[in-house]
Amino acid sequence: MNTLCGQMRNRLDGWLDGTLGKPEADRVREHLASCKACRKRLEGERRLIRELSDLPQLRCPGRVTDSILERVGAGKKKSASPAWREWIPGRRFWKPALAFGLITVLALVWKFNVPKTPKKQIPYSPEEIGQAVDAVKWSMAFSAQTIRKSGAQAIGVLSDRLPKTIRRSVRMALPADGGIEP
Amino acid sequence: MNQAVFQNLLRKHQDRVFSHAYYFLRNREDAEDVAQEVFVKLWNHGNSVDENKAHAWLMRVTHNQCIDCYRRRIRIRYSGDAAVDGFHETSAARLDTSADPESEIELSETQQALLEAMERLPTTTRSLLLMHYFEDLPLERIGEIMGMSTNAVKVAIHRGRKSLKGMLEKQHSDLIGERIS
Repeated sequence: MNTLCGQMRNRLDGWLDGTLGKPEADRVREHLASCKACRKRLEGERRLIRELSDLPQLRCPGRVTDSILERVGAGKKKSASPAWREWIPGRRFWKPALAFGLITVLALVWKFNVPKTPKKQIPYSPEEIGQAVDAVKWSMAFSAQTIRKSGAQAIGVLSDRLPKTIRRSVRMALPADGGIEP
Repeated sequence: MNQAVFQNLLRKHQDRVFSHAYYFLRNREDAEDVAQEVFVKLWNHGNSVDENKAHAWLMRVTHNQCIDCYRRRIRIRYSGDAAVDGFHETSAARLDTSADPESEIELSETQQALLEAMERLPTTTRSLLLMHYFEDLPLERIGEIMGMSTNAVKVAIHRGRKSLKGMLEKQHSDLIGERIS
């Protein structure tokens, strides 16, 4: 390979692409006319390009197309839907809307159907209540008796310090003849 | 993007996308997967894809998907020692299109050798060669698609062609012409 061949070979790519300027293209053409080795090289390059260019265009299998349409939801079934459906606003969001509606309905049903908790009942039996009433009555009678025995001064002091409700209870517990002034 | 536009683009470009993926990966199933993914992505990004620039978008996404698939395949292949031994056998088996009963692909001996050699090129160079020579896209367009300057595309294609020629001369000198000293 001489120097000229080396220079020309660097330009063969441009020659093949058609991107060389006219003076350069002329020089390459002249060289190719006289150099068998470079012609062979050029022919090899052209053949390579031809083989690549001549690769057959393949047909995408129908199942791939069907699968794509199915995945994007644009399949035959959907496209066969009536045209008026296209005009329903927000038709893409019907699933979230339906879910939201269901949740709302469930929440309302739950709100109005949950059984109300019964008021707290005092867990005392009637016997226990009767015993408690007796104990209070006894205590009241005892207090009234103590007051009566301790004299008028103690009565005043005690009655002043007793709460109003207790004073009333004590008065009611005292015998009718020896009542104290509240 | 509405369904009519999408289906139109699908009809128009599906063969190109599938062919590119097939010649890039040399495996029908992988090419089918790539074609599916590319068009599902087109549907999902429909609003941001200009219909007039859909072809460039599709080629870029096809290239990316092919690279993803190729890397995944390499990972799977090298995950087991036995698989490593079978690498070249698998490669040769994939090329044997007669093994695929659905195949209607008729490739010349040179084309088969060429695709086999292309598999040893860097993935980007492989795509560039396919885009330029098989899909007949101009260098400027390829530059836009791949996000490269026209000059970088040109240089990469020339280098790829040179590598291909070198590989074919070594292994299949009878097919591509006599070796030139």
